[in-house]
Amino acid sequence: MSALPSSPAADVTTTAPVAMAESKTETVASLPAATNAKSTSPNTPKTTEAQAPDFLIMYDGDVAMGVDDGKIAETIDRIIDVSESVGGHLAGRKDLGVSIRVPSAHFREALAKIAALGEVLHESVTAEDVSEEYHDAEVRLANLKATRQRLQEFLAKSGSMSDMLALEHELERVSMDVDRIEGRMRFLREHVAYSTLNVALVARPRSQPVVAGGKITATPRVMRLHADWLDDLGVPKLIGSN
Amino acid sequence: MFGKVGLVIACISLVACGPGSHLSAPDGFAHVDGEYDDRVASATGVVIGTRAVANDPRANLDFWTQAIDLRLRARGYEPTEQPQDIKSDSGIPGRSLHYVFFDGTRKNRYFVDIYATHRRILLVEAAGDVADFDGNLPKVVSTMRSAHLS
Repeated sequence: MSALPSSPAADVTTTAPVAMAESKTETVASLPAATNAKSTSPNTPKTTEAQAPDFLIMYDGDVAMGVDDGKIAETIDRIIDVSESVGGHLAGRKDLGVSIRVPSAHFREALAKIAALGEVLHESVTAEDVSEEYHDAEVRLANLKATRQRLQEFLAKSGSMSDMLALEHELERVSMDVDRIEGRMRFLREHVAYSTLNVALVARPRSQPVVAGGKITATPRVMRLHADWLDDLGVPKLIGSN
Repeated sequence: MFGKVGLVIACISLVACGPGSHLSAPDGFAHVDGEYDDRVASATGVVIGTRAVANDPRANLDFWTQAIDLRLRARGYEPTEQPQDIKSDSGIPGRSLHYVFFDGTRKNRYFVDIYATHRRILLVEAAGDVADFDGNLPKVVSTMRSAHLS
């Protein structure tokens, strides 16, 4: 867990991107600054103008978990419940795994709740800073929109058919670029606002009951011994040892 | 004079008490590295490993047989037969425990032989996919019995 970022919520101004994604605001002027607020409290980020260096960070998490044999489907349902309890949603489901999207503000909370549902075998979290890409896109979008505005003005004033055709062709190309960049910016905003968590589940064999005289008895108490090698016995170590 | 004697005694003690156990690799098996005193494996992943550990807390074969059996069962190992009394090729009496274990993807057969001496416990483990293991059963058993302390 030490490799885990302190918290996406602590590093990213979570309230801003969430609100941004929900409102689908697309005008450059109204884009909120999704920032590294350096908040000390993950749940109460305090963003101020002075603190806002405009960092946009996308978080993704991968977790492999062992659960009791026969409880995989139930565990997947509970993982989906966790995502919904923090305002997230299901992104995909397979027989042995599930992908959910959760608000970045609740990424760590969701991770902890999911970890409590089984035995965590592997966990990794990746973070990608997309601030530069986003702000480059903002500038290109502003330029393209200005170009489109000028083309529309030329088109209104043009007299010849050939000029009109050329201007319309150029206008169409610029408009496509505007749509493409706006789409990419929308994708980035949504992925900063919502983190993706992929959870893979592995069936863990049940403990074998002790059979005495034909009757199944309770699992016997196992004396704790200072003999670490007892825990190393078995197939995984023997076959996987290098 | 006493320094040389002390050195000789220390060397003898190291040889006598140092960790170490060995196996004879049968045809079709090769010695492979690992966190064992000695380990041999077939190309199909049937693996036999041996190691000697301190008999601490000092206890007899019955104690260690039960301790090992309880832990393996608690981790999902399913016994396939009663523990068998055995004797190694070098004449040490021991016990052999046999299990199957499903690791989530494969059904494995797993044997562990236990020998308890006054100061050390010799553990010899063997594992592999059930079909491959059973196909090599005579070799596996003879290799396990070949284990000896150095």
